[in-house]
Amino acid sequence: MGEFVNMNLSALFYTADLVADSSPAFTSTVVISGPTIVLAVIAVLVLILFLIGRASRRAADVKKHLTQHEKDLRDGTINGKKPKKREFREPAPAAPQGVTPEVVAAISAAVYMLEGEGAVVKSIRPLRKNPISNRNPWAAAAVAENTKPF
Amino acid sequence: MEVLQGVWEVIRGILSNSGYAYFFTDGGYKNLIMIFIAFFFLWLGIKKGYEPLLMIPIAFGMLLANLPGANLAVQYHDLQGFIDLLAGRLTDANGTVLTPGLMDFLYFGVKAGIYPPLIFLGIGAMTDFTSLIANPISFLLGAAAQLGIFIAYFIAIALHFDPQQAGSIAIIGGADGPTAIFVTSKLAPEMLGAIAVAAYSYMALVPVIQPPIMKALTTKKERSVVMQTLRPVSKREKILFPIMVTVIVALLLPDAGVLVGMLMLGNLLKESGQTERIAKAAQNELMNIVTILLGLSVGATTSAQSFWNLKTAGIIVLGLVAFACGTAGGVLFGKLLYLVTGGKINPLIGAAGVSAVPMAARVAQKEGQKENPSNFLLMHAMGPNVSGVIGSAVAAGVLLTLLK
Repeated sequence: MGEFVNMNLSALFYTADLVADSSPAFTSTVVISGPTIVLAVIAVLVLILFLIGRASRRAADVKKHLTQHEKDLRDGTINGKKPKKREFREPAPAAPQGVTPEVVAAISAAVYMLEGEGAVVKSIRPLRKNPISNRNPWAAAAVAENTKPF
Repeated sequence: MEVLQGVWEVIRGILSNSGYAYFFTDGGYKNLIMIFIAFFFLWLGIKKGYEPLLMIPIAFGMLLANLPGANLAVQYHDLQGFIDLLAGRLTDANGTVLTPGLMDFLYFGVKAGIYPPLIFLGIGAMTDFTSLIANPISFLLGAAAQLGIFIAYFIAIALHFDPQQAGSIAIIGGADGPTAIFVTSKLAPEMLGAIAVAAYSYMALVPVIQPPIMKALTTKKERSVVMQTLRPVSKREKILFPIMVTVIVALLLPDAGVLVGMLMLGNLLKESGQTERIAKAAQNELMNIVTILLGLSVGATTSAQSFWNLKTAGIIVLGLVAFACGTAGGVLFGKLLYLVTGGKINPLIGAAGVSAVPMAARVAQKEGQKENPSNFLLMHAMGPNVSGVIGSAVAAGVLLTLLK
């Protein structure tokens, strides 16, 4: 019985002596087994990541009683429910020339952080500089703050 | 008069033994062409900013290797060759015994597989896997983007490259310089210079190569998908991740163990919170030193004899094919996930599955914002981007296992 088990275990781990050559058979072996093995290894890692993530979240819930708001932040839900699927909408109108995509991204990010989900930036336009004053709007606001009558 | 004659003979002797005279010998013009190619790559690195940290040392190594008589070209291709060189057993075409030069000693780190894993150590210490851990599905996009490697392998075999050369060319599709150098140094070291130059050039051209492919394979609606905010990731998960990946991948593919192991060690040094000093050293001093040594010694393999042939042209074309197919593979898998998840995944992040961190993620962000300026894909794209580093290391392990 022991000999039978040993023989079969050896057969399980036996690898054929693959000789690398340019034959269609070997090339097909590489092309098919290569992506399959990569995908399989990564799939195993994905599964384990899911399990670790779930175990970690459960441990955190047990250790610390999370408020509903904290759970919503963690799971991306609203009051425990998954948000409705967003309909595809036409994107916001393009910003005028002179406003770079990076500026649009920064302003949009700030609006999203302040106003949350649902706020949509409809347009962005550069403020016209006051031709009389050379100060930028921030400097003008600071001057106004410091000189307003008390 | 005799003195003048003697001075003239001395000058003639110096000139005839100089490198300038070599350019006029049979085949000497190739070295001159390589020197001008080195000037071109230096211009790309300095003026255009194409991956300068590696392009400049590689280009300068190319320049040094093609200066005749300076003995700065690498003179061996395998470890036995290094031993023979040290023992004085190697000779040139004229029967003169070759003596080891500086580049021969520096190149040993490439040939023995030392430099690329050390660079991976630094990369791991600089990489944040939070996006990947928060959204494990994006790991699959990194795997899908390695498809280009195997398509390029098939085409290279069809073009009559031998399997080891085909594997070395194909790994360019992983868009990972250290991995490409590691695999090529084991499988086809005679092509190392050309493959390194091709790999780093295409990595620098990511913002040019990827967008047309991304636009061609996706619809406006798909490109406009806004993805959900990523969940917070605990410190425990960030510590378990590198340990778990190392054990699983290295047991399954021992040939990938050294690259993945060093990548994860660097990451663990960063995430553990107990080894801040050595994590900083790994991502700064160590990384910088090894980058110089690697770039210089790889560049020194690009002598005229090894670089100036049809195979180099094949490497450049096939490298582009591999890269493009990898991008397409990632985007197409992204489309599949878009369908499977009911429109929750933006297919553009699939293109970030090539390992060009963080350039490919920034390209995905930029393309997404062209459709919807309020769409922030960068952190979502970082998941496939960093998973591509692991994916290309796994693919390298597969190629080494099958082709070595």
